Amino acid sequence: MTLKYFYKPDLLSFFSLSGKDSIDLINRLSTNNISDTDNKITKTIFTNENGRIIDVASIWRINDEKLILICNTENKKSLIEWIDKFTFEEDIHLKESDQYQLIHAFNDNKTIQFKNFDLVDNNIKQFNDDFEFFYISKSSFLNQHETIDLIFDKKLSDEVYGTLLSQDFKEINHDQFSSFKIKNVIPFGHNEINLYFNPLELNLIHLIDFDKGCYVGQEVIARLDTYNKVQKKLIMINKVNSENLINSPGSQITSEDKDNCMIVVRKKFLDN
Amino acid sequence: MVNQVPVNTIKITEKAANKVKTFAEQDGKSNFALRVAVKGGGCSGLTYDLEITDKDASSDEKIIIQHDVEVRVPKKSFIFLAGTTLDFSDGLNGKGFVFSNPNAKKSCGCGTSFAV
Repeated sequence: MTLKYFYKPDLLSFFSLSGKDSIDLINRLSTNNISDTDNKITKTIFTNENGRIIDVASIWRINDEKLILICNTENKKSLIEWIDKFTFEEDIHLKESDQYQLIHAFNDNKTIQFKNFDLVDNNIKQFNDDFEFFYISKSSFLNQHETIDLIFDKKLSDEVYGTLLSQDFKEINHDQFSSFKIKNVIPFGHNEINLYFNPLELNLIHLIDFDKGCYVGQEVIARLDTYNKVQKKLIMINKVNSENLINSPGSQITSEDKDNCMIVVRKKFLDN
Repeated sequence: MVNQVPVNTIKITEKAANKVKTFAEQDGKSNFALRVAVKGGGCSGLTYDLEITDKDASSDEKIIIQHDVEVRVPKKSFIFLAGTTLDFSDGLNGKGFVFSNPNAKKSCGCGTSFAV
């Protein structure tokens, strides 16, 4: 039997995004092409001029007037300042909200289904009444391991927890999730998502649209990819068996587990 | 070689002005102005934005008239454009409108975006 888990990340920040230029500006500042279709999620990477990661954000487009931007809390200040820096005459408003809660539901397999919901990748199903909201979508972690993401009004927490528990999902804590993400090589949170790395080093090429045109950092990222110049790679290793990799020049351990760790290592050391 | 442009204005060359007039004519606009602005984005962070528009300038725009073309620059953008020359490069390998911007510390390969 496949074990199913759910995890409530603490370090996520939610913003309501409004203004007619919101999507246009985000498209000019990040790697992916934000969908202009209602009820769609797009994950996109904000990079600086050197192609380094400021943050990876999820844009939940419920409809024309309701967009939610989700970012890492530890990168929030940098991201907001970055967007603000490039806002001149654009009509864009970001309003932080503490009303939202997000839960990831997933299992050890790469794919997952949620009983009673016919979910299509990156499509949002919504359940609203006048005061409360509940959005559900089949999405994926940043290594494309599938997850069912639920965003809801915090007032609905008990109800959502009850539903997940009744469908044999088990809640896991931060340490348990850390082990899961390391074993599955999932970049997640500020330890991995930061200015030390570019998207290609973290295996995030699936979040880059190479046909969309210019955005800040595009020239660097396109050159790294075209000429195969990416020097480093995020991998999972066993701490004891891979001491030589951990100690190789330029390598950087990004998070810890008892036996394993994720490490960004120079590719040349992988060949030895 | 482009002459140095005073920092309190931007310069449009005669060639660029003529091209703007041609585009305006094609759009059927007789009472037009060229709006030159800067917006966030492009490979290097800031990108130029050209638009042929009506002559009704808003109060937060700087107006420069050269070669019978009215150039309107939003004041927020002017900070990044002061001293710039706008030229036009035609021919098979031409780049279209070309900005020579003394404020740009670096530009991207295609020349449409810059950093300050």
